Amino acid sequence: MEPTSATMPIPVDWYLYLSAVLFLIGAVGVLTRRNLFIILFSIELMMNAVNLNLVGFSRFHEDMLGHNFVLFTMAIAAAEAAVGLAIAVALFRNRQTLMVDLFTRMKG
Amino acid sequence: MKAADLIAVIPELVLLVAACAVLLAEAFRKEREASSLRGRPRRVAVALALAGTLGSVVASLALVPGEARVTFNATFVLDEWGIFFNVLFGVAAALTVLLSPRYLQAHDRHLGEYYALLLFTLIGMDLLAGARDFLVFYVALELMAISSYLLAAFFRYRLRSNESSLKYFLTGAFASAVLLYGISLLYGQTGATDYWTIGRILGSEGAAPAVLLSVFLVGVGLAFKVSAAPFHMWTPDVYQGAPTPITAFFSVGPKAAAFSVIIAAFIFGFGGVAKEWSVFFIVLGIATMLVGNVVALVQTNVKRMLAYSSIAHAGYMLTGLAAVGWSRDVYPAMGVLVYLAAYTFMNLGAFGVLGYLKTEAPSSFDYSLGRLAGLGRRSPWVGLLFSLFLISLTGIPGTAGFIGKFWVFSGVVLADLWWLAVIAVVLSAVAAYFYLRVIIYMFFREPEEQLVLDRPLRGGAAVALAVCAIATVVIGVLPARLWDAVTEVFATFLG
Repeated sequence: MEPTSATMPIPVDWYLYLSAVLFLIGAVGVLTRRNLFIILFSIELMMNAVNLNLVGFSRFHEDMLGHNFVLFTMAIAAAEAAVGLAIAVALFRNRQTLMVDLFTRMKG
Repeated sequence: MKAADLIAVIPELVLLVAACAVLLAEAFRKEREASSLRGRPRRVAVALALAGTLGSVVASLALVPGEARVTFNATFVLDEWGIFFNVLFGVAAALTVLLSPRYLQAHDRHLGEYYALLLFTLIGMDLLAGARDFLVFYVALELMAISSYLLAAFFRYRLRSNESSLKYFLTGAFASAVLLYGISLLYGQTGATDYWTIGRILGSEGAAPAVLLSVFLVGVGLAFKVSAAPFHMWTPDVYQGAPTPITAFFSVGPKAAAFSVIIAAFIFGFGGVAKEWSVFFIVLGIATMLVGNVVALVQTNVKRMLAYSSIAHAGYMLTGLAAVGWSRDVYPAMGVLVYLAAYTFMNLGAFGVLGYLKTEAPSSFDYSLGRLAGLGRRSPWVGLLFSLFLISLTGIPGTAGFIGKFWVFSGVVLADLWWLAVIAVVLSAVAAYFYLRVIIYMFFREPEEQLVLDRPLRGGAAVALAVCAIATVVIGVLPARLWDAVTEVFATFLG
């Protein structure tokens, strides 16, 4: 019989490799980039790696728990992005820059 | 969902109603003088916030009799454990509400949204303590975290407050992404998100690398929240830049909530790898105590010094957690709960005194040590109160701080980790230097320039500081009641 997508689904570890790579790219982005917007994108990338993981596992376990979880994380990621952008606006009004290494009023 | 399910979340529902009422009351206010709009007392909002926080405490205490209330498909439990934390968080938030109005008025930023955000943070903390499922846990954690980012940024026209919030937000969001990745791996291995099922399945797997990786990621995410070294970098900046009453709240509330969830999740969910996470917490605990105490020695800004001191206190509690895993016994965790209760009052009090000084001398007081010189002789009551809190933070017998340290360290010794207890005791002796130095400045140094306070201590701040002082002394002198309460909590906690 010809293999089809129904008889030979993508194995779950492929999802895992993809999500691990995405997560690492996001983590490196947060730690090395200096522009606030790029950092926000990188955090979103990390969250989406998690979503991919959850959906892949949900398919593997053949239950809906992972899908439910993803709905919650997406809603929370949206709320978090809203707060992050609000902070960015407040910062830009005060300093006219979004390079986070310039915000060093407090040290020590 | 049945109506009976809601009984267990009555304290949170009370808070939710109060928070919405505060927002509505603010929306329907008639503003007459636009110029002095933000400097006015907001009696309605303050009263509603106080009613909400104290209402949740009363509701929690009223739910005491009866067995554990397991609701929402066993994802949320209200038992003695949840009630203990609801009361602790509710009292801490009520004291913060009392400390806030004059401070916010002095900074021309007295808005009702502040109290609503505080109540939302409190709801998140309460849910966190009662969560028994990683989904509820994550949602509650984010409710707490997102509200606190906004509270840190509350003085949004000040760069310091913006910067504080930025650092809090970036580290917090990064930490929750790491935590979430760990949770997704746990779900992958077990097919479940509730603590018990995960604990059962992981217990049969033993210390497989995948198990250790997911426990490690969850542990790192929570280490950010309790500001354990090396994940503490954000703490001093956030605490220094945020409004002082909010700093007081951050240093006790969200930190205690994170500790509550570490104890519950790691005992129920990760009991199978207890030895392994115990080593993780031993390393974190030693690093945290070292960094907190040593860096606090060189601080000249008192607010920043107290921030490092709160890092050090998290380190002491982490040794207690490590002992829980090492001995597979909850006895040291009882000490951690006593410590959390003691720490809540003494740390709120210490930051509260700083908030009062900033309120009455907004332009001249810059939190530097030199500014405190001579304070003890000019305002003896304020000086004595501050000294009491600092002595308690040092851990001198007769105060709450000593009782907390005593129970935690004795738990550590009983778990056969006596060398860890020795390190902790030596480092808390080092801490005496920077706490007592402040007292010496207040009472025995001549000021270069007198700090002029507009008004003596009175009103809400006086009540809050008096409550903190009385609780610090009472826990220190008569710890038996608190110990009995904690024993009862653990009698029902393990089911």
